[in-house]
Amino acid sequence: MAGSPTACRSPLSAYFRPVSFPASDSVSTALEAVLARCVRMIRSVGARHGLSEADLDDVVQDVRIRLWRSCTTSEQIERLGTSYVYRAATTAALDLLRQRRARGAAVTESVDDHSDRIAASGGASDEADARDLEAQVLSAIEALPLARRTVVRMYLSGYEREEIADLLGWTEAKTRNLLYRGLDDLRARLNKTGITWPRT
Amino acid sequence: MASHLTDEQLREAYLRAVAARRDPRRTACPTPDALLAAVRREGSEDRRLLVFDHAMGCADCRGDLELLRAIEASRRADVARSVESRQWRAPLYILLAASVVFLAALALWKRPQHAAPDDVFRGNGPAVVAIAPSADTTVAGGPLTFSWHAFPGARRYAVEILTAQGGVAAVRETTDTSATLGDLRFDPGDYTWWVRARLDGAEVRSSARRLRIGR
Repeated sequence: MAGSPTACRSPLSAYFRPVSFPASDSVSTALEAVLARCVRMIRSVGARHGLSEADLDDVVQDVRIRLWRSCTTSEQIERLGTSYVYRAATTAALDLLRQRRARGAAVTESVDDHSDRIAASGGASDEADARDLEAQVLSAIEALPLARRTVVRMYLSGYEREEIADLLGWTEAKTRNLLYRGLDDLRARLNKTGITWPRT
Repeated sequence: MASHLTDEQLREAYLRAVAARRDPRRTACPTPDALLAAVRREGSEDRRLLVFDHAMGCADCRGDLELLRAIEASRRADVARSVESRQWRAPLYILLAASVVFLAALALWKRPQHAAPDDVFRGNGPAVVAIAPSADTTVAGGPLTFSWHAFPGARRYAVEILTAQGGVAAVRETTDTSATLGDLRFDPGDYTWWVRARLDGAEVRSSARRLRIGR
């Protein structure tokens, strides 16, 4: 990783730098280049799990302004390296989430909102059964021990075993073991309520 | 009541249940800092499990978590790539210095003789033979697979992708004769690639091939 943020202005002096876009062409080009590398990576990592594009856009815009305020030349931006950009992105993301909660809006677009697709697959007459099923599934999951429950929730949310292991800092073997036991446990609990699985 | 349920139906029922029970006030939700700590594996395992357990059962927190996770995972991948690149470059300097000394000594020793055909010299002797992608190929920006012929005595190979400016865009080491860079995405543009074979006390590489990555 080349360079460090010390090449740029101190945060305090940067804070007072007025923002007056558009920046010069060379600064803009350097800024967009360093941002693009990081954003492409973040988007590719988050795409599978419904990362909100709107949230990412907000974060990127915040980072863009922070970079532009703290660096006056394209050379400074190029020296920053991506590690600084990731740190700035993390700070911007935390600020975004805190502000959202402070507003009490809770308007995050759900990554799990499959209701349209699900509704299309069943008729209105099935709605009550569907609600019962949902309640049973949640109830059965909540009865699982914590480690199994967490892994099962991650799996049902669409995370691959490798991703679960990475998030939890576990070995693949431990993750697999807990996931299979958790799913077996879940099926057994649901079986008791009359829900069965097709044989594979 | 459904009496038969596939895994996919179970997943859909779960996601629908999670989406249906959102709390706009989010009073039970962990703070953004707690989510970040969990993503960074900071704090006790029990604490992190509780945070993940909540986040996976709360559509709002899962959206928050995913934003932080994507940034953190990208940062870690970037650091790993940087370390990998540095790890390769450091011994490379030593190897280069050693190979210069070795070649000088070999040249003195062999001055009156002809070099054996299987001696390894960078540039003049046998080289690693790259197979694919062929020279001056344009490929899509998806996962890139590079392959080459085995080189006698090679212990490891490193495929290097260089930018048009000569900077290292990616390095992947392997003991195999192919490497797929499925986890990396490259900007569209012109690149050069080659393969270095690391032998005992020496290294030899293929000729450089130009590669154009399209959109």
